[in-house]
Amino acid sequence: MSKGNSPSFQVKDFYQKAKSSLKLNPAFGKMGFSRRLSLSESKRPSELVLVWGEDEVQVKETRPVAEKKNQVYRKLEKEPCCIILAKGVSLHPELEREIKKRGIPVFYSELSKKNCLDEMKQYFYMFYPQGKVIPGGLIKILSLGVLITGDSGIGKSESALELISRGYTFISDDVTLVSKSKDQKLIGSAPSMLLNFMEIRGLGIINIKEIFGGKSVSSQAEINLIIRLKRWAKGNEYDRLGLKSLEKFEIMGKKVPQIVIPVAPGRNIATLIEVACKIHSLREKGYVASQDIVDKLNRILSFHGQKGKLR
Amino acid sequence: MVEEKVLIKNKLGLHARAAVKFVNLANRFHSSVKIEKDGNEIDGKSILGILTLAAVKDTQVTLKVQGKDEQLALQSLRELIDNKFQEEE
Repeated sequence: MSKGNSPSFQVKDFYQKAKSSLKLNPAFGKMGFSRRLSLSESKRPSELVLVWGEDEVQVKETRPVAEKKNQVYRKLEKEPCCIILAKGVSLHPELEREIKKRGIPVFYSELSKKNCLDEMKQYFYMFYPQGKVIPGGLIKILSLGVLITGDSGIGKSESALELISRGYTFISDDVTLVSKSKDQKLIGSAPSMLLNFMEIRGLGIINIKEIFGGKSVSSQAEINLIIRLKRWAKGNEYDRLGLKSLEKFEIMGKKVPQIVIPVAPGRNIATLIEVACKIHSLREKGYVASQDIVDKLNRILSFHGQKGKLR
Repeated sequence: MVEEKVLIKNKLGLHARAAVKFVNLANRFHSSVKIEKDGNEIDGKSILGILTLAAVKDTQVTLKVQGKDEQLALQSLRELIDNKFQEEE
């Protein structure tokens, strides 16, 4: 997501829009209503809008008072835009003074902390899906997470369906949400609304989990390989040997190997995708069939070359 | 490529039936159709893609059309949205 497009809105707007779903009532700090929530890669919703339950504000006897206080105060120092107190939570007078001093608006919610956080997730999903939406379906073939992309109507969903019926795992169709894990892996998942759903022309929207069972679906997978389906065009030259190293496609600054498969009538795309994955696994292990045959050819050529005659 | 910002004007937003109308119309053209919202771009010919947008009333989206019939496609799709997907409100 580019920086310029990062959502930004005032606490006031957030309150107006979220008050019914989060069951919010303003407690104090109305002068802070003009504070801006600017979401970006480094500023996550959970840092901007703090949701506090009993655990956060109550000083437990088992923990030293000073430590607990510091934890809470550290959060305040990160300049949150507003604070939501879950059901039944009240502030310690000292903490309340501190928050008022900083001019941070505080809301009471009638929901428990867990429900509050769930609602927040739903609410911010619209503004900030915590990743990037990319076109393409994700399916797990053996140990590889494979993103199948290509023009609409080329048969992405149909080949994915065929692969699922062969026992591979479905993650998403047509739209994939990509985020980066802590160790910089690209993790793909379905947008929450589309979880388990797929669209097949002629069948409509189908639920893979209901049809094939729970084992056929997974909530997320690492993206290891991209398969791009391309309409077969006359005159285009395709890789006949498979000697070239794979093209790379960049997602969120990370390069992912890409295989382009030309689609034409009579080609079984699902099988091609399945085999392409197996070839890729072999390549990763160091075996390249085309190199193997070229080596073989070269050996024969040089052998006969030495003898000075061709058979 | 041609692109244009449009506002979703119908009361229910880009709901399922409206999305179907949009996808069906988009699929009549050769050009590729993309819809951008909040920096995320989805395929305008994919019903699932459009449903993910969950675009409520007054959401601004950008239509991006590319291909040999891009002008006509963009015009038709914009009209569909402007006419509130032929709904009453």
